[in-house]
Amino acid sequence: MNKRAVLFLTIILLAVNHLQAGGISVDAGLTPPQDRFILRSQYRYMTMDNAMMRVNTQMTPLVLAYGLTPSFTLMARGVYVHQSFDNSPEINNGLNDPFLLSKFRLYRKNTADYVIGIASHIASNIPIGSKEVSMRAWDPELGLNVSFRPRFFAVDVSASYIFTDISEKLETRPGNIFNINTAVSTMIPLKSIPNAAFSPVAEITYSTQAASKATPSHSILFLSPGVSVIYSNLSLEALVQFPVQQTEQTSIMNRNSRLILGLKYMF
Amino acid sequence: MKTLRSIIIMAALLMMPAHIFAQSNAQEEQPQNNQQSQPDTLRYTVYGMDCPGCEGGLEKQVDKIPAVKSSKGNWVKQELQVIVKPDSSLRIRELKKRVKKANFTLDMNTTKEEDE
Repeated sequence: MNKRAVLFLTIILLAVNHLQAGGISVDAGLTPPQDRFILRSQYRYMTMDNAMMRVNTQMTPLVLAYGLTPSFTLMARGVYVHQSFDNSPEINNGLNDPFLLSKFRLYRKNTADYVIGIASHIASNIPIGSKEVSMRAWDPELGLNVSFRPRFFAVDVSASYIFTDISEKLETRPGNIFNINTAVSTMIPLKSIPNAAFSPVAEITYSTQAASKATPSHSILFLSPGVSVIYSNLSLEALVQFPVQQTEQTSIMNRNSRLILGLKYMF
Repeated sequence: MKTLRSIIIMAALLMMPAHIFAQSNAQEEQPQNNQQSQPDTLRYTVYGMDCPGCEGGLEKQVDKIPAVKSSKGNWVKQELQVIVKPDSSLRIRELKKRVKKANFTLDMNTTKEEDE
């Protein structure tokens, strides 16, 4: 593979790996109860294109989180990725790098009128994913999460900073990435079905990547309406992410609208 | 062929949580048939629940108290209902500790108690 092709693949994989930020009902600053498991599965469909090509990506993240203590949560994520190209018969698929995250509660206050929670997280991928869909470089991440829940409303903010390729394994080290996701939602109890709720949500996701030797700095802003239906410990989620603003450069692929369908089960 | 394989793997990953949900529901239904006596029912106000899913996290912790036969959270009413085993007494300190482990807060000023 020539140098230009390697660089191109790196840019595609980086976009896929790190723009998983946001994406419906993130509990943000609230850590789950002790001994609580949260299992999430999603289907994500996204496309990217430029003058030369169009990349179609389907992803199925599977996430398991566990409340080790009330203030400390562990999370593991595996993602199956399938990529096809409009003008090429080539198909890339396989398991992406596993991703491990630990979240620490910094502050939580429960009152009759509202809940506030602040938590930080530290995370990293383990660069052992399939060569077809993983760059196999260490990308650790630090983050801060804040939740404000005035009764039936919710505002969740999650910010993270990703140190890309810290071991400088890649030929051209990509720029570090900053993501911030804000989700505003309301929880509407369903009177006809006890223990069930309907929750419209709007998310704003901003992601920016610093310049590297290969690419200039670039950013993207998504606006995402969505909905969740929750029944007891199970919730179904759907979200569409619309890119409302993004840096346009010939060396960077444009991201198009994305679809996220998911379910979450807690036990 | 590769595409077909990918679709099958994705479908399997999506179905896994639903399968686990069905299994655990079946397990939860069995013990309810063993209720025989009329135990005490206690009600408490609990702050911090903001969705239907929170109820299960609270109940999981409270049900670990040996004196508790079963519990039921209500996120809309901010209420916890606890059924105590016959000839057992519920220590408020232990209940408070369990509610805290669920990341919620027990309101000690608004507790109501009733015998059924």
